[in-house]
Parts: sequence; C-alpha cells; structure tokens
Amino acid sequence: MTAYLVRRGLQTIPLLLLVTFLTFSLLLFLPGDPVTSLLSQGETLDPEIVEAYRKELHLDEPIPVQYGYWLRRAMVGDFGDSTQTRKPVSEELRSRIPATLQIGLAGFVAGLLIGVPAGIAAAVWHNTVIDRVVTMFSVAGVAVPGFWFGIMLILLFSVKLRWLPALGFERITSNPGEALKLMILPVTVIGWELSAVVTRQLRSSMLEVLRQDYIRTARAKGLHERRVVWLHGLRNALLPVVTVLGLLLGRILAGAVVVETIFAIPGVGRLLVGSVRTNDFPVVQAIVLMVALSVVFMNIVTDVVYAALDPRIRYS
Amino acid sequence: MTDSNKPYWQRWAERPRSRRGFLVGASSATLGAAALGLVGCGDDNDEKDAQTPGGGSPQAGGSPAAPQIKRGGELKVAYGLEPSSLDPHDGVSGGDHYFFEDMFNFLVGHDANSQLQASLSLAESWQIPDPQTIIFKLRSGVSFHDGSPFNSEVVAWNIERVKDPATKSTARQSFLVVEKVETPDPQTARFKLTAPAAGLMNALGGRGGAVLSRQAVEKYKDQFRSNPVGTGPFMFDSWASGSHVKMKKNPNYWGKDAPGGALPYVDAVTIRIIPDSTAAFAALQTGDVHVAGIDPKDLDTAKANSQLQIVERKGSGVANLMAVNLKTAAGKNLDLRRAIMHALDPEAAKQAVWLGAADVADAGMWPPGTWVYKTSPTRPRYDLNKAKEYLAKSGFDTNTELKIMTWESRTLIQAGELWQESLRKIGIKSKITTLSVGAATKEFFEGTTHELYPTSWSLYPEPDWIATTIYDKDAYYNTGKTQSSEVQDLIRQGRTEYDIEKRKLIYQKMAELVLGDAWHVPLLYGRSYTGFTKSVKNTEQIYNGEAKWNYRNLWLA
Repeated sequence: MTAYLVRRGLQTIPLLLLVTFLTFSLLLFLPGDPVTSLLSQGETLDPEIVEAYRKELHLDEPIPVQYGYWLRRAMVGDFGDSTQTRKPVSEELRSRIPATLQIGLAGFVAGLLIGVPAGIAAAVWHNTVIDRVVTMFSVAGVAVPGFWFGIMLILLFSVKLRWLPALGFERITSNPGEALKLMILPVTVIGWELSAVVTRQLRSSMLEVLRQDYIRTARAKGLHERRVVWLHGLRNALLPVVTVLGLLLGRILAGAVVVETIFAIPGVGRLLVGSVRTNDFPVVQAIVLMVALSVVFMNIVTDVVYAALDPRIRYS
Repeated sequence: MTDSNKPYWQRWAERPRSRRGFLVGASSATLGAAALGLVGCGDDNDEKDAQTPGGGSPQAGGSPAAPQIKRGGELKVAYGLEPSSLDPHDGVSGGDHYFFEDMFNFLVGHDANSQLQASLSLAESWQIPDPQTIIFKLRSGVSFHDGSPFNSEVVAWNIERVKDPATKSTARQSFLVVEKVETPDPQTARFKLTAPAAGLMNALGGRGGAVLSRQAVEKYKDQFRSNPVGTGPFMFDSWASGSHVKMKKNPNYWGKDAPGGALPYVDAVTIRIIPDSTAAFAALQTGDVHVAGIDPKDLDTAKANSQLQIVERKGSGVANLMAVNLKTAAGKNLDLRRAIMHALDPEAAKQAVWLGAADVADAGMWPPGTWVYKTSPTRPRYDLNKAKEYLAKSGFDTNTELKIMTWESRTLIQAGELWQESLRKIGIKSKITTLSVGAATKEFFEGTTHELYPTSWSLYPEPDWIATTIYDKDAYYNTGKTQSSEVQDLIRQGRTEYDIEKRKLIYQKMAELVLGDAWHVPLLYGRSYTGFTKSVKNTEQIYNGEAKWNYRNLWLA
C-alpha cells in the first residue's frame, strides 16, 4: 500500500506540470492581455507604461520562456503578484480559501446528510410515493439553476420573512452565531444540488445491490431489515458514490462561483472567474494548480477508501 | 417639474448666490485677465450651502425646520466591483473612486456639477499670472491621517510621483505639462508649465490630483495601494479582498458643515462588495446595507417600497455609444457610417433595454449636467429614410456582413442585439462577438476585424480628456489615427484657452464636427439611481462631479 501511495504521489508531478502548462497556454490564447485588461473603458495608459508592464510580466517573451519563469518561482512557493490588485497571489488565496472551505465543506456535509438517507429511502421504497418525491427533488436539484434558487431563497427568507440575513460572510471561528445564520442560505443551495447527485447515484446503486443474492441470503437468514440495508446494502452500494464524492470534494477548493456571487461570499470561485476575465494569469495559475493538487489528492484518498470498504481491493 | 423634484445640481445651479460668494469670485477675477475663467475659485459658500442640514434631502424639501443632525453610526454601502487599488495615483478602474474619494482630498475639488470649488479643495485659492504658471495657495493646519503635515513640498512630491513612469498612473499624460512645482513657502505651490494647459485644473481634481501622504508612501511602498493615507474625511481601516473596505471617521478633518460643525457625520463607512445587483437590492430591502445602486429592472419595485428612497442622477455618463473602426474598409466609408448612425433607434433601446432609465442623446460626449453640454442640431438622429439614402449612396455591398464587437454587460449585449435588428431593417447583415471589457477594447481599437463597437463611457468632467483620448489623431480610441486639421486646431485651442466661456464654445464646435463625421456617436446618456434606506439623510449629496459616490455629508437618523 505504501509503495502504491508513493508511486501515485510521484505520478502527480508530470500531471501537474502538464495541467499548469496547458492552463498557461490556454490563457495566452485568450483575447486581450493582462495590461489592457487593467483598464476601464475610456481610461488609457501611456505606451511606455504599457511596455514597462509587459516587460515586468514577461509578456514580450515566448510562451515556454514565460512558463519557465513562472515554474521557477512556483517551485519555491512564490506564485507572483496578481496583475489586477498587485498583491501577492498567496495573500489573495489566503484571504479567499477560508470562505470557500467553510461554505463548501458545510454544503458537502449537508448534501450527504440529505442525500444518503434520501437515496436509501428511494431505493428501499422503490416505486412508492417516497421514491417519487425523492426523485422529483433530486431531479429539481440538478435542473434548477443555483442562481435562481439562491435569489428565491433570499427573496423569501430575507426580504419577505426577514428570518435570515440576505448575504455576507463571517468566519465560523470569529463569530459562530452570525456565521451560522449567514451560512444557512448558501449552504442550502450547495447542499441541495449536491444531495441531488448523491441521491441519484445512491438510489441506482442501492437498487442494484438490493437485488443481489447476498442480500436475499441475509434476509433469508432472518437478519433485521435495518441491518440488511445499512450494513450489507449500503456498504456495497457506496463504492460508485464514493467515486463521485471524491471528485466533488476535490473540487470544493475551486469554489462555488454562482453561490459566492449571489451571496457576496469572498471565495476562490469568484476570484477565479474574475481573474480569467481580466487575464490575471498568476492568480488563475495558482488556483488551477491548487485545485489540481486537491483533485489528485482526493483521488488517492478515494482509492484508500475503496480498500477500506471492500476488502477484496488490494493495491500493490 | 416641481422644484423639489428637480435634481440637486439643477436646484444648486438655480440657487441665488450669496453676496460673499459673489465678492470672492469678483475679487479673485482681478488676479489676472487671462485667468478669467478659473481664478474665481467658485463660490466659497457652496459646500456650506450644500451642507445645510437636510438641505438636499427629500424629507426636508420646502420645510423651514431642518431636522437635527444625528452624528455617529456606521453607514453600510453595497458596491459591485472590487477596487483595483486604493492608491488614487496608480488605480485603473473607474470604480475605485467609490472607495478612495473620501480618504483623500484633491488639490482642487469638483462639486456635483463638475465645477471647481475652492471650498472642496486643498488649495484655498489659485491664480494664473501667465498661461504657463499656476499659483496655488494651500490650506494651512491640514494634516494627513498619519499625522504628517500637508504643505507645498508634499504637493510637489505628489506631482512628481504621478509623472514618474514607475507609478504607472493613468493620469500621467495630463501631468507631463508640469515642468516643475516650486515651493517658495509651505503654503504656496507654484506650477511652472511647459505650455498653457487649461485642462490641467480639472485633471488636478481627478485621481492624479489626489494628495497622498509622502511619509506613508515611503513607509508602505508598493503596499500603499492597500494602506492608503490621505487628508480626507475618512481614514482607511481595512480591506478584506472580495468582501469589504472599511473606513473610519477622521476626527481632525478640516471640512466643516454650514453651522461650522465637523464633517463627516457618521463614525464609519463599510463598503461591501456585492457583485450581483439583485442580491445588492435584496440587501438594501432587508436593511443589511443603507445604500446601493438600483438596476433599472428593480426601479419600480424600489419606488413602490415605502421603506426606501431613490435619488436620480441624470447624465451619469454615456450609457451607449456606437464607435466605428476607421481602419476597416466599411468604417472608412462616410456615407455608410452615416447610414448606420441614422438607422439606430435609441428610443427603442431606452425603452426595451434600459426600461426607460436613460435619455436619448441629443449632443456629443458631454452629457447634460456637464458645463460643455449643448444640444447638437446636426448630429445623426434616427431616420430610416435618411439611413437608406446614405446606404444607397455609400455603394456598400449588403451581402457583406458587418462584425460588431461588444463586452459583457447586460445592457450592452441586449442593445447590441437591438442595433443588429436596426441594421437589418436597412438591409445590413451583422454578427456580434462578446468579450470581457479589456479583451474587447484591445480587439476593437487595436485590431482590424470588427467594424462596430457599441460601448458605454464614463463621465469625465474635463473635456480635454475626451479630446486627448478619443478625438486627437494619435489618441488610443481614435481607430483611424487621422483627424481633420480643424478638429486638431480646436483641440490645441481647448488646451491653451483658460477662459471657460471660450472653452465651452471650442468643445461644442468640436463635438459638432466629430458627430458629423459619424464615427463615435453617443446614443443614450445614462441615468444612475441610488437607493437608500429611510434612515439615511442628505441623500442627494452622495454624488460627486463624476457622478460617483462620496459619504461625508450623509447621516443616519
């Protein structure tokens, strides 16, 4: 197992190089460049200042050379400065990651808490009213756009009923009460969408497992139905769900752009989209690298969880 | 329109001047004949008049008893964009003004009507003894938020900083005409110019004229942009990226209100960065913020809400204009350009896209409310028959598809589709590409692939800025890099003529000529709407000369 993990770890290095190089090249193919993107409509910069900027950002050099500059600095943890705010990228990320993690993880947990029981219920009571209601909600969760749902929640719970604040963010560590109040609406949006995915996956996987011989055997030997479902059924049905969850968890760091925008949450997603639009290469590169690392890491964790769930899986 | 319904600046303009104000203006005017237009320094009482408690607020309109001002509290504001920098000299986004205006003062200040006012300036008065010298008498007893003194040395250093290419200031071009700033004593700054520069005074009221603490710039160096220190009514407190900027009251601010009371009124201002306008409006309705811009789509709901008050600002920039790429074959064809401009129906766009919250342009790039504004009788107007006539004259092959470039903004995209339909009515086919604003600007103004560019333009109080950046033959936004000698001559005259009335005529004539050339034609002037909760007072004083916000005169009931 250890040898496997070391090997997987080493395999990520060329992968990350490829991902960052591709991102870098794609960004350079985007129309516009970081210097013109700095300006509002109607503003101008002297040509000599534009040139100085381009030189400072190495935009006057070939793409592989530019990538080389970036890589050399990134190797020692220096991701450069944002071309928009000219603050160090690491500082920008440090200020954005807590919000993204807080909202993302809470949404993830909410998604599981709703999705797992709902998926099981839909499978156990297959073709009943419960199944139909769960399926309806999960289809809606995937189909209803987050921006619409978020705005509806704000209009209902903030503007109409005045139960919850409309938007904003507070760190759970600095003011837990306020933070929880502020989290309810965005976490509902993320959680519902995520629960829809989990429910659908788990329902179909459970339906298949519950038809297996060993489930029939378990029932035949008189095991309590709860034990049959939760222990024998769920554990075997979880494998495909774990794959999806691993991917979703790995992507949490990329942020939830729509939710962060609607609820004015200063997260990584908003930063990423804003940076792509303004050709802020250093920021985009750092976020892509961070998300790629996180996805790779979660893939490895998923593999480990597979082995834990199914003793037949062994890595060598 | 009843008097109380008139916009603030209109009422301000129509208000009788005080005798003292008249005398100040008259005595200053004797300082130099060439300086007739600028020496007056405005009305010394203007800020005080404007700051009469509740004077501009709808609640107090016509009421003899002004409400008692309440001090203290935290004003919460919603704004959609993150600032590019809090250093006025090196910032590049027009939205930065919403954040730094109240942390700094300018060597000369503009009022809401884009007029220079000594009462709003760090310079108490100024005179122009000859066209290449401007002498500023500076306010005494003013200090920066870090305690360092404001004096002529600091002013000279600030001007050099803007001129230094290393600062990368967008204002640099306007300041290169300043050869040096002499400092005969701490309260006198003598600007020596390489040529007459009438536009410099207004430029000094823009971001380049903001006076920064030298001590703080030297302390924070590159990070001054997130640790701004000025002389303004509010001091920087914190900037949480993507979340908010917080300012606290400057207890030593030099500006006073009418009864001589200290400004500002509130203890703190927090500007929350809320990118989604619907969410910002919801936050205003719930009272999470006190101030937010109102999108036209939310205007009816906002007006129907008795808990909100709305302040309208007309002429808040050019909401939509059509620029033609003069480097393209189609763009070079004057008859075709005229055909296109006559085919566009701004009234339809006003109703369908801006939902009535805009005004059909009847002049050039200087909208109502600016001192240059004058309706133009000869500008291209919507007329399908004329459009068809010009199209026939142009010899344009209607099988050719014109390419339209625009950028990501709801109104621009929708208006672009409408213009496409307008062109189709006279038989011109077109295709739209939408990019981010930076990319679209570069593609259109530096490229040769797109013929048309519907865009918006911010309000600039100094007309020479428009002339320099758009009309001049070398201007970045002049796609053809050509200009008639008549317009070039007017640009030169506008720069050297200090008399404001003569300048006005120069720019009005310039507008006529450029509009006649039909390559950069405003179609709609913007109206901006700001929503406030009922607790905010003096709401009409939120707008500055560039139709952006400042918070020093607002108070919370």
